[in-house]
Amino acid sequence: MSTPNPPPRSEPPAFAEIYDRYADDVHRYLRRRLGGDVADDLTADTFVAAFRSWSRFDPTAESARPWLFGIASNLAAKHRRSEVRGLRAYARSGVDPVASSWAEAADDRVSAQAMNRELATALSELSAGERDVLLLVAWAELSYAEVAAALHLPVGTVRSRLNRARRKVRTTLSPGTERVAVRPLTALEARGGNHG
Amino acid sequence: MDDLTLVREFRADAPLGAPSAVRDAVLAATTPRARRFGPLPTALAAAAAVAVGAVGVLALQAGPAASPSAAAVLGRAATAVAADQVPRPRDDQWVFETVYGGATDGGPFAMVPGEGWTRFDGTQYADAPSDHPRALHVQHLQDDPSVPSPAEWYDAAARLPHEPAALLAALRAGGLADVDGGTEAVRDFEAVVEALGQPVLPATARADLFDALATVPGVTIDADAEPDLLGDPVLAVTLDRAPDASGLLSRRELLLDPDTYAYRGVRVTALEGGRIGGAKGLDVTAGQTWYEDTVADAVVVDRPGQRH
Repeated sequence: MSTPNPPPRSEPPAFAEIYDRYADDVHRYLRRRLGGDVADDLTADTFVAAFRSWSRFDPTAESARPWLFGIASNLAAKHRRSEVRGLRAYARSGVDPVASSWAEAADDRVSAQAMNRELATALSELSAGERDVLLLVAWAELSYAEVAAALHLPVGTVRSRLNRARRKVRTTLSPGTERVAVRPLTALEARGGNHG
Repeated sequence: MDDLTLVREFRADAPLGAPSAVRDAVLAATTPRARRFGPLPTALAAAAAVAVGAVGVLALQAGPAASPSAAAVLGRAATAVAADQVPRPRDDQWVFETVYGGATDGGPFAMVPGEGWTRFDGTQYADAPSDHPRALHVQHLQDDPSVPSPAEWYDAAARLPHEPAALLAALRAGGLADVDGGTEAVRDFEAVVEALGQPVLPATARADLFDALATVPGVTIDADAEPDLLGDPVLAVTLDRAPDASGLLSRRELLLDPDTYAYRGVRVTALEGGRIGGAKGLDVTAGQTWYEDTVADAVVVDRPGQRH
């Protein structure tokens, strides 16, 4: 067989260049969702996974950025319960455990941002799919089409999830809306479900 | 302030900048331990060339023909691929391939995709240098009769007899497959595998090759084979206890897509410890898979640089 003596092949794309171009953005997105330590691990996992599946990257795509954010979001899904717990802790106590990974004076933030506490509640109550879409649009600044490519969803689904997520957030933040106690994890979420 | 703006500003004080340790970890995990797709080191190349087809001290005993299950599975494969339409590409078209793997000195197979474009008529080859991944280096190839072009393979395959024994005889006589030495079963297995590994073949020829493989003594099917280098499940067509030139027994596997029977790669595993390829050869241990590749992509395109 010819295989033990293959024809000359190219070496892989300069992966360090790809890492250097996108890693900070991906890391910050993960850090905002899950905090520093988890972000470090998941950023590394994202780029190693990207490297290993490089042949599946659409080379006609203008940028690898949406693809990388899609991998990062999928990896973050495994920490969904932790993410929701962090949001609820913020809502309950006024101290954001995720931000504590980069901010020094946690006490200063306790009294601040009442609106953020409500927002944390709203984000915690979104389905995982709704939260992914909302945060990819708001934090990663991806277009609908890019989110669709990143999450392998039809654009229409992206649009409807985003609309639903925004409606829920608005409802939670509306003046006069009575805040209810942060609900405990549902049985479904506790099993790692809640795929929106 | 609207809801989306609020979300944008939530935790917006998060600093930008992944720690350098993350970068170090990623690059350590993605930098190959050695070149996988350049020319093999001379000693290893020599070992490989010898190992894959030469006469062994321990001759493979003439065993039964391929097992009944192998014949049935390969028959299904033949039927499946015969339905494809594979028009002959134009001479100025290119065959784009992405292949992972290669020979290993005992370390893990790096997941380094080797990408290259071979002009169908074999006159040019193109790939991207590692330091300029977006650049394309096109080189003219010298005519080398020992390395048939994709077009020569396609045309020769189109002329192969349909009947298995005649097809195998034609492959032995044709000089297409580089499999000198070895027992007849080993030679035939290697020749058919090399032919099936060609990215563009007439559908009927591919089907006939599967039928011929079903007649090679000792061929079996392993439906629970180890996955390929990409972790995808494969159906392995196996020739076990096949000796190399040093007499070492190997297990040779042709890896197929279990659904479409498309060619996915090959794997060679030593069944006993020793040195393959003589004094300058490769030391292997029993159970060591020392050659494996996985074809991730093989398509015909109009110009180098295209991948679809």
